[in-house]
Amino acid sequence: MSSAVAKRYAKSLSELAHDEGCLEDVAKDLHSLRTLLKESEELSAALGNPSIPMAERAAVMAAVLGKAKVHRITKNFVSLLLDNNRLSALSGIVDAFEKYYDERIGRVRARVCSAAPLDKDTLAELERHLLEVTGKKQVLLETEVDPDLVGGIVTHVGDLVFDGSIRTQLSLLQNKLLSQESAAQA
Amino acid sequence: MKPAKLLQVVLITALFSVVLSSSALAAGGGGGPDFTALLRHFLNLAILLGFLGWVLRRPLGDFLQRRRYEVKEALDESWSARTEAEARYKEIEARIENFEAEIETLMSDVKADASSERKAIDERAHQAAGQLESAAKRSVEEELRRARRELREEAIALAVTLAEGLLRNSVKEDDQKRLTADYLGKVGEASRQ
Repeated sequence: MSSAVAKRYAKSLSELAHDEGCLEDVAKDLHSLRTLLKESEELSAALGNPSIPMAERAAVMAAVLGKAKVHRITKNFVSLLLDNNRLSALSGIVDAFEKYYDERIGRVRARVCSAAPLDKDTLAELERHLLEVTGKKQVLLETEVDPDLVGGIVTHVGDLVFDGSIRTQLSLLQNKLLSQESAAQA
Repeated sequence: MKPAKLLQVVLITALFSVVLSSSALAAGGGGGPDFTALLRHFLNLAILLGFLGWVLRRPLGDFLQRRRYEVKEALDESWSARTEAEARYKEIEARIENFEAEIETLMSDVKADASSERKAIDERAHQAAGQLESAAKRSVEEELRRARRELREEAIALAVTLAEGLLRNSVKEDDQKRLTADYLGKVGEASRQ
């Protein structure tokens, strides 16, 4: 499914959920559902298998949603995806929905990558700075540890990148030395 | 020939025949030369010749006149041909006389052309050789520059890789804390701007 179609589904769902006053619930439901389908490959394969009759797939999905106790709108939306054979696009729809959701509640997501795990104080301070930088009401930090950075932190927030990693410093040093070398050659 | 003229010729021929026959009869007499008969023969011959001359005078005159014109024309043509041949001969003779000079001039021109062409070829060859030499020098210099550049780039990449390895082993918890503090300071600085 193209991202345009995923965006249309996500936008319609977010508007409906907003009108119904259950935007946060639906967002949580979709996040949980995506996590569930990612973790359970068998379930994901069965729901996307066209050789299994639609009624059986709908029954499986209804059972899953019933156990997860999702909101009515979420249940209806997933049923719609199943009917339209669009369940494979759920991940993209959830991504697009989260963007709409973040925009509506004034939240921004920041992906924080560090060479070593960061403590709470550091993350709190980083969140405070990012709130000031972005001017948003809320910053959602998604942390990740990457030893390849050698040292330091890299944060992606929207189109902004704050790069304080040793790997990038080394890369810059290498580029600087190469450009000096090129200038000397010229 | 006209009919009147034809009748005239026939009558005269008949008269001539009568005369001849009478003379022949007269000659049939005794021995010794008969001068009278001989005289008659001469007379007959003269009359015949005179008659022929009288009859043929006009056609013969016309013929002779025409023949004279033809001969004259032939003479004129041969004269003009001769004049032309003489002129041609003189021309050829003159050309033959100048032939050696022309050959010398031609040879001289050919030698001059060959000399200038040889010089031009030499110059072009020198230029081409110079260009080839320059191109070869440039190529060698470019190859050297490229090799040096690649060598230095490899050296720089190797140095950076070594530095990364050293840092990876030498960066400790305190260093990470310091790096984090620096980072937060920079992000905070950016937030205040």
